[in-house]
Amino acid sequence: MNLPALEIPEDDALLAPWLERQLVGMDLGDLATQLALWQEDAAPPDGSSLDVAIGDRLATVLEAGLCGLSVDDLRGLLARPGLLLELQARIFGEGGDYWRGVAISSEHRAAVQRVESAVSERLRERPTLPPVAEPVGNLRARWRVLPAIAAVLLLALGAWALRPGPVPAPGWGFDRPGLLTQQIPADQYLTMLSQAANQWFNKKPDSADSLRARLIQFRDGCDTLLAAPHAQLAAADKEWLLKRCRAWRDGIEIRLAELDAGEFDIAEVRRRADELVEKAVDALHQRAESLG
Amino acid sequence: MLAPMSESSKSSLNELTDETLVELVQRGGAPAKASFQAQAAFAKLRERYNEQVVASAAQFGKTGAEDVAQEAWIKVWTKIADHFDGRNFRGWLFRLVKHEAINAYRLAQRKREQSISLDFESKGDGSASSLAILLERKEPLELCIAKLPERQQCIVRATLQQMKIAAAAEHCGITAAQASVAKHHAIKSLRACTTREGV
Repeated sequence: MNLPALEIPEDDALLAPWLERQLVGMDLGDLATQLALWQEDAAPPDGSSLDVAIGDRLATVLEAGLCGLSVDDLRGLLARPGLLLELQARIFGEGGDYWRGVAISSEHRAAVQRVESAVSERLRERPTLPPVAEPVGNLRARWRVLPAIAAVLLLALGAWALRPGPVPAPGWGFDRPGLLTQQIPADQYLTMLSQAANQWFNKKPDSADSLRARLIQFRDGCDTLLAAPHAQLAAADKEWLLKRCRAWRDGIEIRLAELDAGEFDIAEVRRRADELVEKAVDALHQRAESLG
Repeated sequence: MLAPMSESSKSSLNELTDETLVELVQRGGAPAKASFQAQAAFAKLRERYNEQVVASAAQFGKTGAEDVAQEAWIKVWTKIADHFDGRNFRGWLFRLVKHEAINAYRLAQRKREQSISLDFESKGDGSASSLAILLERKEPLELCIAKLPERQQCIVRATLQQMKIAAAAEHCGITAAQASVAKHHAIKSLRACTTREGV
């Protein structure tokens, strides 16, 4: 662990550039944790946010960095480290080009390269393409893509090395196309989710690789469920579903860890996974019945 | 792997907005040319945001951050067609990264606690916020600081309360030179301890 909180510049003039590097760097979480050690109010006591702490200067910060903030402002951020994480999220989500020009460490740069290599490799080895779908939203602006397509087609002229990926199999379980977008009553929706979860039992993988793939697919389905709006459900039902879904997801992760660790044989891991999914199916079914 | 691009093609991609690149990715389907477009556009998005994705993935510690970033990008690739609504790609991307980072942190935490069995009712309400995790991570660090000699502890506490070295020295009743030496040794010891403790 690096200890950035013990390396805060003594010279106030260096504080802004130092903090900017922290905000775009890999040590911000460590910095915030360390700063929170002896501070009771790592978060603002009134639940206020950056908008309150920095006020109307936030827009300038997002566009042009911390130079517009006083030393007291900067020290104020360091005194409430929860705000540092919030500021990082705002910078990454909304910040201007200035922030992409802030230097990163060699350690960070190396990590970025490793991630890029790994992602490229995974896409090359298993280039499962995203499901073919109508782009969501902004359909009126589709014509604007045409010049872009033309530009990108130029790339294809030199692209002899790339092989097209196979068309992916349709998703199953919670990833079944159209499952989460149906406008149906809540009880029917939960029943359909229950049926979708039950698709787990359609296959009985008997090798470590096939079981791992099946578990990963189910886990990804949970992620899909977590990210969906669930407009069909009332707030309390949605909260219930998300809570359960996180537990299912964690359970699948644990099954994956067991599989990778070789702690149990494949049949035992599958039995445990079956048990987990069965509970999920039952829970969804019972909730649906309670609403019906 | 993408083939080398001409400078003019690179420039063309550079000029596209995130959302236009996303549309190209979303169109990636069976036709060979379309899949190439999708991969080229996706590579451009990674080029734009990978530094920030890696930083965001490290918000709960650098251990495992690269895995989190990698998984996040793969999820973007596999989910973008169905789950991105066409507006504010960056916002969607970094929510996904944060979600991955929280999940990875909680899973690692559970493994540490050896809580392999799953209790649907009592565990994992999933409400762990960044701040909550930040506060959870304090504990092992506090233990490491508690193992330091008294003088070093005093200097570390004073420094974390944002005292400059002169003020910290005065606070701890030592000279500035002694404070600097104590701080140096404290940093060295804390690095070793946090590594041992897997912080």
